[in-house]
Amino acid sequence: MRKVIVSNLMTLDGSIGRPNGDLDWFVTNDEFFDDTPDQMDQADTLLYGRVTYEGMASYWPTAMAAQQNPAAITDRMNAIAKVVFSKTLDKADWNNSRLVPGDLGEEVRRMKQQPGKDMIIFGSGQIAAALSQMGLIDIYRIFLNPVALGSGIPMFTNTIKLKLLSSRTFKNGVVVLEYAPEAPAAV
Amino acid sequence: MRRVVLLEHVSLDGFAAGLNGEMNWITYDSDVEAYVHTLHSRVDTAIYGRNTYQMMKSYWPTVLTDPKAAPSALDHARWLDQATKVLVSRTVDHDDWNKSLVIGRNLAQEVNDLKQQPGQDLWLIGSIRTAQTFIRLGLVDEYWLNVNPVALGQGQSIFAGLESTLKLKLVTATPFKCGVVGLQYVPAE
Repeated sequence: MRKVIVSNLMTLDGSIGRPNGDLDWFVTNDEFFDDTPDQMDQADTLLYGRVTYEGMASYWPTAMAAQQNPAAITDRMNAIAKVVFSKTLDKADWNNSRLVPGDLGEEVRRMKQQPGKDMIIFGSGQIAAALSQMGLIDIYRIFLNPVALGSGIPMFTNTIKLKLLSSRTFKNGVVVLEYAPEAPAAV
Repeated sequence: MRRVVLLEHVSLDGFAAGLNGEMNWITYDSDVEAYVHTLHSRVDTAIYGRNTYQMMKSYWPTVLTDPKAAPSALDHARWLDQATKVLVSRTVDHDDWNKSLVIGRNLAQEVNDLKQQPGQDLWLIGSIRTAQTFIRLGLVDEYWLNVNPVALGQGQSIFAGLESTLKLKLVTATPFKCGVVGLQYVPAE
């Protein structure tokens, strides 16, 4: 069955953004930029909440994104299928996007049953937290940044026991940790 | 100069205790213990906040005379018995634990004085509020964060109250079979 993977850069104090959403603390290097296309090749769909979707949709198709990122990432980000969960958005124009105004859990359960590769959630704190609470996340992939903010948008909003699957270290001090929930993900 | 080593067992999301001080989620098996105990050979002073100090004082001396104590626990008890115990408190003047001293009324100055004195490194353990103060004052020279395989969602963070972004440099990352990852950092600058 297709897995749902949450993939985030996170601070040592568990945040995925400053209180206002700023990501200026991100620590990235070539290893990170090499890793992202590999990650995306394991998947065929990205799942988004509205806020992250709008941010990404207004960035990745632009010349600035093409300039700031390797083509291997920009091309994949623009080409891959995207599903955005929102009851307020009226359209999703970014290439290969589908808007789902209906029930998040129901739709993700349905998609997990379909044939295909894995599904990745970047950012999208609210839907990631909601899916986590529903037990629908199979893997948490965390790029633990050597930074603490003191306050921010939390990656986790409930208690989850995890199993460490792997740990890797980038030269810039980012530690890549992969976990599965100790209780297997729900169907 | 002597260094202050801060050791904390933290959740994946960086909490050192639950909202009500819960620590039952911490995994501390013999692998993690052996890793932590590598500090014994290079530290000669323990630093604790008031609550942690009282907890340690009421427990570790009993291990010294406990015939059933595990050898590794006995190692720590003997180390602590010989170590200088520093209680961080602004309300207490002295304490009767052997080789103890109280600091806190002028914390930055007092810690920097300790660092200038000859001796081995200083080990700050647990003591969440004291750790927050040490971090904020820039007194921590090494961070040993044992990241447990659990997210808490909320709790008490050693990074609460930071006035600016804290940037660290990774020194080592050691994964253990039990799922804990031992991370060591130093301040980036």
